[in-house]
Amino acid sequence: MLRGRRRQAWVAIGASAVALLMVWRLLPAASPPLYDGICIADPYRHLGGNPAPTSATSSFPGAQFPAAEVLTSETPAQAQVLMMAGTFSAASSISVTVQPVAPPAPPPPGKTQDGNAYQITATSGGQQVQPSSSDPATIVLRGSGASGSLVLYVDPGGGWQPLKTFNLGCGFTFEAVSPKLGYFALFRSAGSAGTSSSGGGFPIGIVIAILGALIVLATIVLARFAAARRR
Amino acid sequence: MNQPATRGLAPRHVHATVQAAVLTTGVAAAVSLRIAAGGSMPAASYPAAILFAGALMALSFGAGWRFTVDRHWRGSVGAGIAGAAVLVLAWATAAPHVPLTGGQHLGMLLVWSPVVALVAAAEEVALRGALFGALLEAGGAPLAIAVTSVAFGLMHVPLYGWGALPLDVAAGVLLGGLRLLSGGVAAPAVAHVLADLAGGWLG
Repeated sequence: MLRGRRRQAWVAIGASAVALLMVWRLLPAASPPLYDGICIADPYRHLGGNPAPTSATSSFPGAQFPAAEVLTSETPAQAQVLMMAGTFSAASSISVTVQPVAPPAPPPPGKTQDGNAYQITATSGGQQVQPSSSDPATIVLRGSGASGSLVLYVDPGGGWQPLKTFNLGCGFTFEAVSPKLGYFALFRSAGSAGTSSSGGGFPIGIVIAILGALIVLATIVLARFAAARRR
Repeated sequence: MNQPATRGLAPRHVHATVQAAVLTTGVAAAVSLRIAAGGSMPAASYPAAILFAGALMALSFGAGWRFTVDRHWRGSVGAGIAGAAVLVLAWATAAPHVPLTGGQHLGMLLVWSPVVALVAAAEEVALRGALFGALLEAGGAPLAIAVTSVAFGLMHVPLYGWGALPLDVAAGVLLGGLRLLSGGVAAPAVAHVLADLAGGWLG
């Protein structure tokens, strides 16, 4: 029995090690912090505020573009661009810049911008370059934390376009794969209230009290079970 | 080896099944409590994390889990360190990732680290301690590993989104394997705590 369990344990460990290697490689380039924990999140830095949001620039070889990331220096970064090997290709070196800017266009109808707009560009030899269609860039923007679900939009020149957006959780960050670089911003539906614990929002205190009572009840039931088994 | 029902008590595996169901409900309530108390950024809320850890520990103690040190503790710690190495190496070999923080945030990390360690240890006590023990009795090792791994994955979805589910389920299987191999919660707890801390200190 014990030997059988040890064999099962080793099978589980071996299979999970292989699965972990595969999942880490297949996951979108932006992934949550290692397994779990608590995110460290500084207050959001708004454009024109103090402290100011930061910019970031990095250069890469154009002929053999590596898997790379360019991210601003807040914790967590307020804007990031993640690129795969082959996302860009050029004869000379490629410079990727992430910069907070004023929004280039008014919000889409019925939407309100959350946080800053960022301009993300890649240039080579003075010319702008765009990601390859087979290896698009992944954009990660952090919301201000003042509202619920957000959607990432890109404006490559000609107006905001929504992107399929995923919530990364940590620090209220959202990511999307974008076929084009340009301006990026997070938008929420106008009038949708944030998750507030005060004012006219959802009675979160009641929810917490109910959940707390449920946990106490479950603990009491478990204790009675354990006591019954000991008898 | 099945024990007969005596004096109105259900057979042990039925008892263990009910205990596992109550524990799972309690863990789900603890996760919901963390989300509700954490506001718009539950993954970044220290008070919500501490509340969550306290709820998990209360449920585990209620279920009869107790901290014990056996004579094999060195082997369990060694297995935990090896498990952490697997978790961290898998991460290190991957494509670019989002760094959680950097070494320049030393002050933050000194506060962050004990809270993260507390949450990771509480998760292990609840899942690989109390719940795993009940499931092992109720349905055997495969059931225990499967249910605790899925629960481990699902409990992180509200914090990191559905994209994190495969990763956390795979990590859960590894931690379940360590629990089964070592016979206690120390090995998965050491692996989990070290891997989570690595996310902050190496990220």
